[in-house]
Amino acid sequence: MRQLQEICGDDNVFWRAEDLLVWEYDAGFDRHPPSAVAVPGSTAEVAAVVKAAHDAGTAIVPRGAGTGLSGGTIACAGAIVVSTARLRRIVAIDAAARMAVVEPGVPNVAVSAAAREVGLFFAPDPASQRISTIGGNVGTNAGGPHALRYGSMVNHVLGIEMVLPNGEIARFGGTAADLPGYDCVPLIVGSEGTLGIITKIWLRLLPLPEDIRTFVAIFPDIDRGARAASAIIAGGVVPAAMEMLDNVTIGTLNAAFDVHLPPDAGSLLLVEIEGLHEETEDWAASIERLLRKNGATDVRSAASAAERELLWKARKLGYAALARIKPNNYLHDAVVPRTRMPEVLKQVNAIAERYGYVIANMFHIGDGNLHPVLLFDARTEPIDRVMEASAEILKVAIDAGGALTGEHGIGLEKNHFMPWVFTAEDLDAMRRARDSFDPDGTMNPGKIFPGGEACADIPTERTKRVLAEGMWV
Amino acid sequence: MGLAVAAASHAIDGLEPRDVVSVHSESEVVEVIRGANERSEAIVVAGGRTRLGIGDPLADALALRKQRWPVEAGMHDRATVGGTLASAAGGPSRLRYFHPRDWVIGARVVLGDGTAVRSGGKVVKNVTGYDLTRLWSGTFGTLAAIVELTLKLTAVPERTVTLAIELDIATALAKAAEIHAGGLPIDALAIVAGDAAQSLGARGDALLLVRIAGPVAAVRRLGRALREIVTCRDVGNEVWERVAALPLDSKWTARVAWSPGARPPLEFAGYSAVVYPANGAAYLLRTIDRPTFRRVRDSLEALDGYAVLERAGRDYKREAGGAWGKSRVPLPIARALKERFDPRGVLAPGRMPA
Ligand SMILES: Cc1cc2nc3c(=O)[nH]c(=O)nc-3n(C[C@H](O)[C@H](O)[C@H](O)COP(=O)(O)OP(=O)(O)OC[C@H]3O[C@@H](n4cnc5c(N)ncnc54)[C@H](O)[C@@H]3O)c2cc1C
Repeated sequence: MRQLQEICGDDNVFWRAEDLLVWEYDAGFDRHPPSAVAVPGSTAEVAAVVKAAHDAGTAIVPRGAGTGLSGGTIACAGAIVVSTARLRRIVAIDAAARMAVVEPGVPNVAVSAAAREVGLFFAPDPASQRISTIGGNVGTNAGGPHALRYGSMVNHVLGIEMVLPNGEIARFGGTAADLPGYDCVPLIVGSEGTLGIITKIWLRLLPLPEDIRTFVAIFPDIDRGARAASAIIAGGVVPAAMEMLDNVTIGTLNAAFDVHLPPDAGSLLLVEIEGLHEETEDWAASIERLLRKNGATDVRSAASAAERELLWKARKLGYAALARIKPNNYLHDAVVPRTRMPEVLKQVNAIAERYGYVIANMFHIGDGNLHPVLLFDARTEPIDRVMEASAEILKVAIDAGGALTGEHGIGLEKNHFMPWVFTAEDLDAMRRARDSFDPDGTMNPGKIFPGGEACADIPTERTKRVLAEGMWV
Repeated sequence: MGLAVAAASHAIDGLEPRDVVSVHSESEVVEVIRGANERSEAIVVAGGRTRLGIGDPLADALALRKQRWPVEAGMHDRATVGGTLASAAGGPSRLRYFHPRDWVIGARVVLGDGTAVRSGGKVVKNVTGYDLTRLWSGTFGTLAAIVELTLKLTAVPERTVTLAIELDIATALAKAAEIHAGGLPIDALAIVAGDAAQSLGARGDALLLVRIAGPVAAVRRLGRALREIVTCRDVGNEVWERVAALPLDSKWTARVAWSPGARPPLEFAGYSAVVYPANGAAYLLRTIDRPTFRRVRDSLEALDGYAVLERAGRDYKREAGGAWGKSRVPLPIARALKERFDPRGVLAPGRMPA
């Protein structure tokens, strides 16, 4: 502790039980206090903290804004948390190179704002973008609605500076593409803090689109909305974003925002296209035709930038607004092949109904990334049952040829489910990659990989193990 | 599937493989690699002109569905999908579609110890554990032999047009910079200079090539916008295959790169090269003496760039300070990856800096 205080300064180290309370949870469900929290103010301080922890054999958990939904920042096994809250500088915006260099604690939206000033934008736009950090976005390979056209973080990270688990500072990638040597950048993106602490990131920026058009298409039910979405993808036009909102979500958004969506709609597609005027003109016509052909009862377009922004604000803050219905929720973000979407959604809703949960579906339908939110009240309803229903949903997605998670990560929440999709050899290959960086396993232990004991004392851990095994394939 | 595995006593330059084995299934690859482990032999994985080709078989099959894999690696008729990923091939498509690895969503590979493993899956968005699929890109078969890839596709644009103009190299670079800075969605942008330009039929010093693609009306409008910057004429889209193939056809090729925001730190005047200015990359195609090459390499490395010898004789490489120049991955990490994925070092030993 004294060492940490010497490195970071007294004010930037927390260890009293009452100070640690705010560090024991993130946006997921699990809680566990770290043994201490260090908030270093420079890469050198991060390196010194990591070195000190490494020498003492103490585990480390990197943490950005703590908006992660899979327990990636929960510190188990006596680990300390290293927060990037003081590393918040935008180091450079290079308009000619279409590149930004930032520190990990910079909020996602700040990069977009800085880029906009020079006619560029940063594509990844997780709904949490006002708060979540670039470091966390890299950690989870964050997506967001516009990942449909532009891809997730991994498509936009050009270089990374990272403090390795032994305290050394290393650099991967950078301004020039395809540097000599193994390219570890895409391995580090999405590694959920298990390979080191990222201290600087080189990001790709893109020219702002000339024209943006946003449509709201109304459907009598979920099935027809899902079929329309599949038809658009099959038609070859890739919208910038395509989101589905179901009836429960529509009701919530109407109550929370001034959006005036038709309250009796069974589902709604929010479709956005971006490009040259001539492109959007062309695509708009074909998308509108497909929407109507597949059962849209109404297709409106946002009349102004303000209206479009309101729609997106409602979509992005919609998750929090669901608390109006029930105080708690549980959600997974499995991905299914897009052709299977309509039937999978039917099964998902049937599971919720069978368990008696109100379900809200508000998700990235364009890339098949489900977000079935089960609503409940943790004061009166057992969490185990919600987890069981959610695991059944995961299973449906996997059986349809899908993936456990599209953007939220595996973390502590889904590591026991990994054997549903990967063999022991597949997982061992991932371990080989991890061990190349962290042979002692001190970086964010207990995450991603199944079977570890690091977080065994977390209350929900037993439930997850039973569910994972019970539905073993 | 079909890929050829060549067994060589050493993997570097000019040495003849002792044996060439053609394999047609994952289990055969496993067998060959296990055998190499037992006999402590080295293996160089090579793609064949077979069904994994990006070339005509794949392109034709996809074209029927108006789809394509938007990666142009050159040698269209011979390049394989596996080889393209393993070599992180560059080319014209890098401007709009970026890295080939962004168009691969799943892989099956056989590791250096003969273990067959899968990564990724069949969906376009996936963060289920580490992204090993992308890690394999640019590893040149030194960590694993790729036996199956799941590709992400994109629709064939309604219209594609290529515009060209002959200019002197300085003007070509300036015009290319102007076009790129305008922010219009350009599909590909290249400058072919010197002998290489002449091989494409140009009489002047350099040929500036611009490709635009999309709905018909958009292409028309882009064409108009471009003609306001330079008076260029329509040429066939086939030229891009030849441009992409130039670095592979040359006896001596160096791939150089710099920050795309900066002016290229090289004088291309009168020199045979393919330049992708908006990507900060170029292929030098005419051999230069070794001290000069070393100077070029040093100056690029000082600017965070590099000069890699893609094609050169063994002696040249040695005297120029190696094929790769300064490695940019911390060596302990590179070595650890190699040791863990290929513990006995059978896969193309010495090919990557490690
Ligand atoms: C309302 C809401 C909406 C959301 N919407 C989306 C969405 O649309 N798309 C999406 O993808 N996610 C979404 N999320 C999830 C979450 O915001 C993302 O996962 C985000 O990337 C996490 O960023 P963070 O800064 O909060 O990271 P944290 O939660 O602090 O950390 C996330 C992971 O990254 C690691 N990490 C953090 N910083 C570093 C670093 N510097 N070096 C190495 N590892 C690090 C951590 O160890 C952890 O494993 C949403 C969350 C909420 C609460």
